[in-house]
Amino acid sequence: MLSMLAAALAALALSFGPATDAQAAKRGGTLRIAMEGEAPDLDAVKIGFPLKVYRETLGSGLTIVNENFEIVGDLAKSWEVSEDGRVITFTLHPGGTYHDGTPLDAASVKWNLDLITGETVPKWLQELRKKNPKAPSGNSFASYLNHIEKVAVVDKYTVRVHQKDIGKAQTLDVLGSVFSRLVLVSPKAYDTDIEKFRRHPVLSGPFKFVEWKRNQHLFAERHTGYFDKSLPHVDRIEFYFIPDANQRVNALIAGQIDVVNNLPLPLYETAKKAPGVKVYMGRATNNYAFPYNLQLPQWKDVRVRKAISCYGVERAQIVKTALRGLGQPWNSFSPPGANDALDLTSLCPYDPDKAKKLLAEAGYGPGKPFKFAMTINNSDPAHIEVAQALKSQFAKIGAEMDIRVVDYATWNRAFVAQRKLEITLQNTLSSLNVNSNSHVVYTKSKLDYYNVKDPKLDALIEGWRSTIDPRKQLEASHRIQRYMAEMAYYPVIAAFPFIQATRADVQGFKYLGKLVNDFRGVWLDK
Amino acid sequence: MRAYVIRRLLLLIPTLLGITMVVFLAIQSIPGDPIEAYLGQFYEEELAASLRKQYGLDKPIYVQYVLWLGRLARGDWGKEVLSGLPVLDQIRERLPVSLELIFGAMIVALLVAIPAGITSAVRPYTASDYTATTGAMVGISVPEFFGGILLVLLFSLGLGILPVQGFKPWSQGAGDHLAHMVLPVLTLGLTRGALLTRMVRGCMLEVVGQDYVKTARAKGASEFLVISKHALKNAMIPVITVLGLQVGFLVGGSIVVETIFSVPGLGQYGINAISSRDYPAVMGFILVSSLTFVMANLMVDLAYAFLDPRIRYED
Repeated sequence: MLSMLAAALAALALSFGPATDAQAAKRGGTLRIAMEGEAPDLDAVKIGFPLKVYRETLGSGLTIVNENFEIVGDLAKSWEVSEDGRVITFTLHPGGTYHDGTPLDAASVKWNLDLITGETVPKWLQELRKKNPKAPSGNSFASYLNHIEKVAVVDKYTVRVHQKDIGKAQTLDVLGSVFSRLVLVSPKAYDTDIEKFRRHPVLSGPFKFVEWKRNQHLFAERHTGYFDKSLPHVDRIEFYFIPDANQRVNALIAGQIDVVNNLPLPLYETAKKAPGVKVYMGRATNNYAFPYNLQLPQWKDVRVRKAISCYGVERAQIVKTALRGLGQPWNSFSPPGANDALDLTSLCPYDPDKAKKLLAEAGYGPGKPFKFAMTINNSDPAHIEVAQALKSQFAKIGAEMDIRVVDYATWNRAFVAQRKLEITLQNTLSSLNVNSNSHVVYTKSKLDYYNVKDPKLDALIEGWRSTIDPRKQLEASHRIQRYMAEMAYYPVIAAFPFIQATRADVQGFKYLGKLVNDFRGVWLDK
Repeated sequence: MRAYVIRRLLLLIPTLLGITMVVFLAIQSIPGDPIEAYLGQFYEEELAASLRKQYGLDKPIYVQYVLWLGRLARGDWGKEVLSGLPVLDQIRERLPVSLELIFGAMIVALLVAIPAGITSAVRPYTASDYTATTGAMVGISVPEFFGGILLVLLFSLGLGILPVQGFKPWSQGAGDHLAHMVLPVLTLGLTRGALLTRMVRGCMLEVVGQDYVKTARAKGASEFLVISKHALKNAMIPVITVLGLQVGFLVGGSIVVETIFSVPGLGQYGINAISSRDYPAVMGFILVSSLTFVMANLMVDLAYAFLDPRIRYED
């Protein structure tokens, strides 16, 4: 009897717990979001931005990140991690379905995780591989979850994940946010007709796909089969693709849209001063880096790297001018907004004389200046300003830098796929911790496009990925950051926050940086 | 007249073949590999080679051209590399939007240019002439992206009577559709109107001094009749030539305007295709843009025959 009473009280507490906001929240209405662009398709197992925004709005995963940047449950009501960290047992919320009505249960979760690890090969890919055995799956999560050894269904709503030692520490992060949160796809819909799925995704999140009109909009409506019946508050979400940044802000000011998902730095002041507009800017979880190609001979000399990335850069001046004072000078792999940030900026004071001396020691000087070309993409207006500032600063230490501007696709191919850029500028994705973006320097990752190739660094990263003890993880993180700074592997100028803006009548908006998109709790006070 | 039209239509065939050849060779000469763009981070040499074979990209260029031309003739314009959607479907959907924008802009341009140019020419060096010529100079000098933003500031943010951006199809109501098209059409049309104003003024100035205009006046025809029937028709021949050429600029201008106002037309399609190195889409875009230009010039040639009897009687 007592246990029944306790259970009833617990249920009552649960139903009132999240309702503090929900009580005030008005249900209904349409949330209109301005986006800078659309994705080529809506395949939910692919990564990339802005695809991430659509898949995370329409999808749901086992875990998610909250406003304190902690991993919390989404479809998983709870989870238990074995003492050695190698087994995670997830208990799912019952009663949820995918958008096509397929029950959201342990079997479907196993199917999804097996799809990522390659244990399950969907029918469409089997057919494709009959013609071309090397046909790519397009699955981008394998690099992050390839440490999963086996997934077992315990009962209808319990699923157990067995993992290798190296990698076990990153599973919850990858499922919750890192790089691109893994959302579950309907096995029934994904298995057979991938072309249809890529245009009409069938996921399990709070909003169900309605319509995607290329270059115009993407509409979604409340999914009545979402496991949490109190969410979402709005009936409908409409994404409008507005490539011109000024027009996104104008549309917000005019009340034509409710949210600008990504507000470029130069428009921050305009949005802030506009009546009826709220601007959200939180922890600086993004780094503004200028990575060089460490496999090119000229960058193999640590003295050159330190001259260019450490003492030759006046970070504060670039932050003040090109970044409109909205960032902070920074010199660590984990940005200051990450949970394990370690401020190493003081190790690299602006010291042109020291930079010149290091270049001279490496064999460069007035008769033989250090010359290189920075290739940037034209997607962000700040890039050219930052590149020009760097060029003039490098000139003061006797280094000559050319600037080349290319379109984003060319840049991405040359930087990520071909790895042939000498040096570039990059706005990194938001980081929860040092491991979030470690794939760019970890040799065993297919995405180690910083080309570091240092076994010692690999071992340090594996050290982080192999421990679930928070204290040891923090120590491992700091070792990684110190080592990278010491070797000048990661040239960074500043850290800055992701900026978003909404109309003042948009309530319950969660600022989560660029980590996660969660519009479940948003409601309209109209 | 019929022989003239037939001859002009026959001339289209080599012109179109030439266009396809130039488009094909231009795309081939762009640095970069579409397979690399497609594979991105998953690029592997072996995989890329098998995909090149699958898409016929391993064949010699002339073979690729002939194959492409054959497919083009059969209505197979290829699929977008990134999305896999048929290019022709996308063009069919977007072309009417761009044509509406271009046609609307031409009407705006003519509505501005003809009255302003005539007023300016018949009352030269007066306040109305100075107003028209100054307005035209400003219109020519302001680039579309800036003009568009000024119109948004005035009509959307200032007066709040027109939407900032976006597009609504006719099916969602004519009022809503037209409200969304006003600013893009004005942005594109006013610049062209400014240029044509100067053209109309210049041509009219030349014509109003001609003997036949003086004769018409001497015969007691009203000023309205003199200007509209005798002067304007003759002054319009060079104006129409320029108008035909302006179609090319309107296609180019529509890229900017469609991007600013998020109008899902061909210009926006083209710029997205170019920036993502989607070659089949780029080829489709350039081909249709070129065809639009060629067709506009054909219409201009046919209009000559209507306006100037000497042309049709030559045959």
